[in-house]
Amino acid sequence: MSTKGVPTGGSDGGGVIVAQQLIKDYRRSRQRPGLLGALRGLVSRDVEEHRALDRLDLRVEPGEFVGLLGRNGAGKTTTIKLCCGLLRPSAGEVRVLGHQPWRREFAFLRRIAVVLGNKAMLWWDVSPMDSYLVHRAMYDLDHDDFARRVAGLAELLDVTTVLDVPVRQLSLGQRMKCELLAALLHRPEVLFLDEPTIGLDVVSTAAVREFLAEVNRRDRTTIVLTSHDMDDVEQLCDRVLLVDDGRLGYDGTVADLVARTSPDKELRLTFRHPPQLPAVWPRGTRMVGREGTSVELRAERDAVPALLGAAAGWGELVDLDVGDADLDQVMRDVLAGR
Amino acid sequence: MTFVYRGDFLMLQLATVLVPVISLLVWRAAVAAGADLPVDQSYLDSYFLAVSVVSMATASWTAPFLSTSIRNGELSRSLLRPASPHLDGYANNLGEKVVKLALLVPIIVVVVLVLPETPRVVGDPRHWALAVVAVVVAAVIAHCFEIACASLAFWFSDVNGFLVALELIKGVLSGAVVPLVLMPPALATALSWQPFRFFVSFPIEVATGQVAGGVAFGFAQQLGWLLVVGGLSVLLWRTGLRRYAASGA
Repeated sequence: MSTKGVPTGGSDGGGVIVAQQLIKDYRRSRQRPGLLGALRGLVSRDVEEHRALDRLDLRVEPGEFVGLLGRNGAGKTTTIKLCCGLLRPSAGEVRVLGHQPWRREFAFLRRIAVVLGNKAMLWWDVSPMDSYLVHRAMYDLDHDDFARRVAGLAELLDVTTVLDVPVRQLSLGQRMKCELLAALLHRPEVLFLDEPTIGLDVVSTAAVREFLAEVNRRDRTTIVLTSHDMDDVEQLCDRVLLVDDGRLGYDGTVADLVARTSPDKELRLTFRHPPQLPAVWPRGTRMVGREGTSVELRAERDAVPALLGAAAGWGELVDLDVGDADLDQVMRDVLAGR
Repeated sequence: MTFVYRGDFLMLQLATVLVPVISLLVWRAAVAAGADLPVDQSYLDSYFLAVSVVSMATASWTAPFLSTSIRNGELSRSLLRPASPHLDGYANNLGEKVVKLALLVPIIVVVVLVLPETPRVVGDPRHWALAVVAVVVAAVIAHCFEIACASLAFWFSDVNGFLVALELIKGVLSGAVVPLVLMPPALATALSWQPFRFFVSFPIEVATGQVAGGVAFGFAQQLGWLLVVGGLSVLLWRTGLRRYAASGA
């Protein structure tokens, strides 16, 4: 991967999440296909150790909104499961809010919340409100504060009218919003989100993103997000951690990741009339497309000022758009090892 | 949540009394056909009447749900909350028992009044009080046993076949299908020591005042099994949880 070797950020002391040399091995069996394979499996089974995380170091500071990125099977969800205490590390150490998560002390569990996009935390057969009432008892929440909190969050998420409908009868978007509401009732200091917008429509996705940004900004809740939707990451995360083959491959801002991986700028120049393009392009510049009076160019960052100066001589410039490669493209490049 | 599915709930209620009623009919048919049994018809009526209450009050059906949640990762939901991951199982079992008892007891009272001879379990209040204690201890042992069995899913993933086989063995060895006094005399000692006796048969023996080896010795045996099964369930659960893979997320 092109970004390997980039030093991981963070300072000593005060980290909300600190993982050092974290290793997680799974045992998994291989099944031979077909009836014969199944019969052979009765006698002998191929079991192998699979290393999901390999000496992972990471650090998250209070109030950060961090995105965990990586290809399928890279170790993102395993990292989240280790941080919230569902898994016990095979080696190394992880501390969240000063606790060893795998001990699952109630004092720790009261301070975090987890939303797994494809696992319901609410009870399926009863209304969200019934689940919230159990939640209130479990987290020992003050009755008045609880009522205010439910009403406030329900209004923000626009689910006030469905709080008494059985969860199984809610749409995916409504269910996810109700899951988020449940996760935030006890004012967690750290919120882990695993694919929170998976399967949601555009409107619901936008509402969930807006809500999460508000929670992070207003309550200073530390949020760790995994998502395959790069728009989620681009719009929400201050920092991204790229996990590859169980190791931290990149730690920094989205802008830096884009700059490192796709250092070129993308320019779209639109002229009033078909332009007179040069036979030889300025240094560090190449044309990637042409349509009517518009030209699409890719240029090294340093070459952009000279390019813009030269472009004025190619015709009457009426529109100019300069930008970086989008995160989708960057991730495709990164995951493809380019 | 018991009341959410009304039809399902009614079927469960019916199933509670179905097994003892069928067993009773079978044994009545055997007596009518001239079978030479060491107990009389009245004892069988009383026994299976008591089985319908005791087996319902002590039965726990946690293992299939818990083992499935271990296999498919649904257990994660319980592990992420600041409460025992078994709270759901406790609450469901307790709620179910309260509701079922409320409906079953009136039926039993009617049956007792209708039967030609007063069943033997309607007797000494001291026996009744001790029987209630035996039922409570039996329910706790049964629940711990279910957790221990479900914990095997941490190692073997799918234990449902094992649980089905165990349910059949439990039905026979607990005395729910065949009163243990009707088992071959050569097996009497072994049957009196095995744990399943203390799930159903022992509380009924206490209620009828017919405990093999005496009430005090019987309670000592039951408490011994409580310690063994309880300890085993804690050991298997804690050890197994280290292997939990939280699949599916």
